[in-house]
Amino acid sequence: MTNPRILIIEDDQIQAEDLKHSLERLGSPVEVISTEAQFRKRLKEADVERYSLAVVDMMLRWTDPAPDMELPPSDVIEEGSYTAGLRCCRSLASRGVRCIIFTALSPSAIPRKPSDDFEIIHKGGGGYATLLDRIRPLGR
Amino acid sequence: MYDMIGREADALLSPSGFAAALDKRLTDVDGLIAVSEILGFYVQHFRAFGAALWVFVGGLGAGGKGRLFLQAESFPSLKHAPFYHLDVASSISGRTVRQNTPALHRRTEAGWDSDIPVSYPEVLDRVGIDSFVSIPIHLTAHSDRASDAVLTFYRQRGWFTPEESEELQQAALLFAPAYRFVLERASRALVKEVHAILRCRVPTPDERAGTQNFPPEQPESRMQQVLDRIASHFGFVEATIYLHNPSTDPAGRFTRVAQVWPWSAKPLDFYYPGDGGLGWVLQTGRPLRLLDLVLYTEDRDYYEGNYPGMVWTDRFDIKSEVRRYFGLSADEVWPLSYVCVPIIDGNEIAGALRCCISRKGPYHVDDDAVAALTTAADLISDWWTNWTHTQQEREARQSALSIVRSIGSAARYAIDHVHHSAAVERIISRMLDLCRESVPQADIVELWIEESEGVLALAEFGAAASAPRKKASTGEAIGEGKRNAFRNALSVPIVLHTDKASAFAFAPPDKNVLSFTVAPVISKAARGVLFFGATREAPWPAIIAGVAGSLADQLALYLDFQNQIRAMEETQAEIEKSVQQQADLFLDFQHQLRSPILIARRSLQHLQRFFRNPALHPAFEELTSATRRAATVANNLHVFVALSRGKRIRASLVRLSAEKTLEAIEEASKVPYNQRALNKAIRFTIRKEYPIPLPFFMADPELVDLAVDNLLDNAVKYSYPDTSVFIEVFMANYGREVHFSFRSKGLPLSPADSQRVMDRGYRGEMARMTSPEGSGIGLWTVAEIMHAMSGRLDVIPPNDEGWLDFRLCFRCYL
Repeated sequence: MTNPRILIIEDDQIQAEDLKHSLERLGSPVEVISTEAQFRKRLKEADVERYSLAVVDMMLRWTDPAPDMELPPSDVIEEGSYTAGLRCCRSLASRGVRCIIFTALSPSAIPRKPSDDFEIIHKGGGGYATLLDRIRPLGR
Repeated sequence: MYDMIGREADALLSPSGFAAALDKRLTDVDGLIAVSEILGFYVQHFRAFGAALWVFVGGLGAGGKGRLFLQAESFPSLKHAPFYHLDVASSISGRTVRQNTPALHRRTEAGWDSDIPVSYPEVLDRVGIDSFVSIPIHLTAHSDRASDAVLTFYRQRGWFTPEESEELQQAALLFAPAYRFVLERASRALVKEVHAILRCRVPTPDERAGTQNFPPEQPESRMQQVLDRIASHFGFVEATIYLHNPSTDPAGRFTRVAQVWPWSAKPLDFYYPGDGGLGWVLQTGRPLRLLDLVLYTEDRDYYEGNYPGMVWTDRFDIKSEVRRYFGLSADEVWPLSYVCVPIIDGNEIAGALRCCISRKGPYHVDDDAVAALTTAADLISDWWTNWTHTQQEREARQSALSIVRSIGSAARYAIDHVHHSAAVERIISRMLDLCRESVPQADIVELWIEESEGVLALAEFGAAASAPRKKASTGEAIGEGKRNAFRNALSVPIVLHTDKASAFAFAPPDKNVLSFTVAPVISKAARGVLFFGATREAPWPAIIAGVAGSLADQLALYLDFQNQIRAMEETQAEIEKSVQQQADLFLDFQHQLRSPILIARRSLQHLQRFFRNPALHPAFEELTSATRRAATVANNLHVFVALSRGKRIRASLVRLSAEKTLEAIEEASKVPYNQRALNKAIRFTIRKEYPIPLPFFMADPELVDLAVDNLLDNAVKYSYPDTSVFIEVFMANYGREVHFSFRSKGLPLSPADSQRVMDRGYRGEMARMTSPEGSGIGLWTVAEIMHAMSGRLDVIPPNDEGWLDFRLCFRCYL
C-alpha cells in the first residue's frame, strides 16, 4: 500500500510548512497551495484525482498582490473569502477527493450544506493531534 | 275712494252703470282693503247704512252646523263694525245661507216683520237698524254648497223696498267675481313684493371676500322687511318668523329672526316656540288655521279632527287673557284668528311663519290667505336655504383653514421633534387640544385606542400622560349607543355623525349625550376612534364630521409615528445595550490578552539570552514575530474599544530621538509576522545616513511602536512580491516637523481612497481578495494614535512610479 498523496490548502505559510513537515514525516507526499486562484489553476490539471486527502483552511485569499494579478470571478466576489475553503472542498469532493477542513473558526460557524461530506477539525486545543490521527491510518 | 263714489253715485243708478263703475274701481285695487271699499261702494250706491260680508265655515258650532264669520264690512258712520261673528243656527244670515234664499226684513213698532230668529237684536236696536237685506252668494268658485257667504245690507230710519231688494240681488251677483279678483290681485302683488325684497341683490361671496370691511349679511333685516310687508297686507296685528339656523341652533330648535309685535310687553308664554300650535306646525310641517281663538273649546271636535296630534290647552277665554295681559279695554283690538304656515326646505322643516289677526284686518283666515302665506313661506325658504348654505360654506372654509393651519403648525413642530416618542406624545396632546378648539360644541372629546387584547381604552396624552394611558375601557359602562358607534367606526371605517338631539327636539333629555360624531383613527400600527359628544343642546352641523375626519387622519399619522419611533427607541436601546456588553467584553478580552502576550515576549527575550544555539533562531524569530503581531492586534483592539466608548487615547509623551526611532523601526522590520505567513520576500531598506543631525520629537514610545507595527504589517500584506519598502526620515514644514516615511509598491490606491483608508472598517475590494484577514482598523488606529500625540498620518497616493507613501508626522521638539 502506498502512502496517500495529501494536498494542503493553507494561506498561512508558517502553519502550512509546519503541517507539511508533520505529514511528510508520516511518509506522505504533500503539496501546498496558498491561494484560491492557485487552487483553481491546479484543479484544471489531470492529476488532481490522485490525491487521497485534502486538508483545507477555511479562509483563503484569492491571490497575492501583483501588478498583473488575476481578478477574482463573480462567485468569489459575491461569496467572499470566508467561504473559500468550502468552495475548494466541494470542487475536490466532486472529483472524489476526501477533504478535511482544518480551521481556526468554530465548526458551527461554517455554513455547511447537508450534501457536504467532509469533516471539520478545529485548529485549537487538540486539533492538530486529531488531524494527524485521522491521516495516520491512511498510510497503513 | 268714498268721496269719489259719492260724487259719481247719481250717475250710477242704472245696473249697467253700476257694473261699469265697479269694474273701474277694481283697476285701483291696492290690497285686501279693497274688499271693504267695494262694500262701501255698494253702501253708497244703494243708500244703505252699512253692509257686511259674512263667510260661512262648515263643521263648526253646535252640532257641526257651521259658523258665520264677519270677513268685511262697511259702516261709514261707525268707528268699529257692530259684529264679529254670528251663529248660523240663530241668525238671519245663517238662515239665508241654509235656505239659499234672499230675504228682506223690516222692523215696525210691533217688531220685526217676521218671526225669524235674529242674532244680537240688541246690536241692531243699538245702531237703529230698521231694515236689512240678506243675499246668499258663492265666494268660492267651485263650492259644492248652495252658498258659502252672505251679503247683508242695513238701512237706518227707513225700509228697503222690494224693488231695491231686487236691484241689490242683481248687484250682488257682481260681488263674488270682484272679491276673487281683489284676492287674486292682492295675493299676486304680495308675492311679487316679497320676491322683490328677497331677490334684492346682495354682494357675492367673492365680492364680500374682496372687501375687508363688508360684513356677512345678517338675515334679520331682510326677514323683517318681508314680515312687515305680509303683516301690512293682511292687516296682522302681530306676526313672527321662526327659522332654524344649522350653524347656531341645535337640531329641532328655531330662532325668532323677525317679529311684528306692537306691544311693549314681552311675548306671551303661549306663543313661545315649541308650545301649542307653533310646535305642532314645526313638527308636522302642516299649516294651522284657527278661526277664532275664543272658540277653541267649543269647536274642539272640529279642530281635533282636522289637526290630529295637536295638544289643545283649555283656553276658555283667551281674548280676556290677551286683553288683561296687554291692559286693553273690551272694545280695543283683540286677536280673532290665527294662522301658522311651515317654512319647508326640501324635506326639512326650516321654520314657521306665524301670524295672528285682529279686527284691523280680515277676521277670517280663508284658503286664499293660507295659500298666499304658503307661497311667501316658500320664497323665504329658498332665500334662507341659500343664505344658510353660504354661511355654512363660509364656516366650513374658515374651519378648514383653521384646521389646516393648526395641523400645519403641528406638522412643523413634528418635523423638528418627531424623532422622539415623548415629543410625538406632545404633538398628539396638541392635536387633542385642537380637537376641542375646533368643535367647541362638544363638551366631550376622547381618543380611544385599541389595546393588544382588542379592548378600546381611553388614551390620555400630554401633561396627564405620566399617568397610565389606560383610563377606562369599552368593557365598562360607557353606554350602548357609544359602544355600538365605536364598533361601527372600526368595522366600517367611516365617520359616524349622529344628530341625536333631533329625536328630542321638543323634549330635551337630561344629561345624556345628545349628539355625537365618531371618526375612525386607523393606521398601520394603531386602531381607535376619535369621539366628539355633546351633553347639552348645541348645533351639531355636518362640518363636524369633516373636521373629525381630518383630525382623526392626522392623529392616526402621529400615532403611527409614535409606534414606529417607540419601536425604534426600543431597538436602539437594545443595540446600545448590546454594544456596551460587547465593548465590555472586548475590553476584558484585551486586558486578558495583553498580560500573557507581554509575559510571553519577556520570557522569549530571557530564553534568547540562554539559548544561543543558531538552530533555535528560526523558532525564536517565529515566536517573536507571532507574539509581537498578537500584541499589535491586542493594542489595536484596545484603541478600538476605548474610542468606541467615547474615551480618549492617553498618550504619555516623552522626548524621542528620530535616530533611535529609526533603530526601533529597523528592529520591528526584522520580524513582521506576515512576512513569513504570506511567504513574501519584502525587503526593508532603512536610510540611516543624513547630512544633518536628526531632530527630537515628543511622542509616546508604545504608541509609536504600535503605529510602526501597523504600517509595517500593511506594507507586507499589500506590497507586490519581491519589492522593497523604503523607510526614511524627512524634515518638513521648514524644519518644524519630522516625517517617518514608509514607501512601498503594491496595490494601487486612488487619491479618493487615500483618505478613506483611514476610515474605521474601510477595506478596498482588492485588499479583501489579497488579504482576507483584517478588520480595516489598522490605519484608522494609526491615525487616531497619531492624533493623540498631536501628530498625524499622511497618506500620499502612488506617484507615477507607483510608490505609495505613508508618513508618521510629528512636531519637532525645539
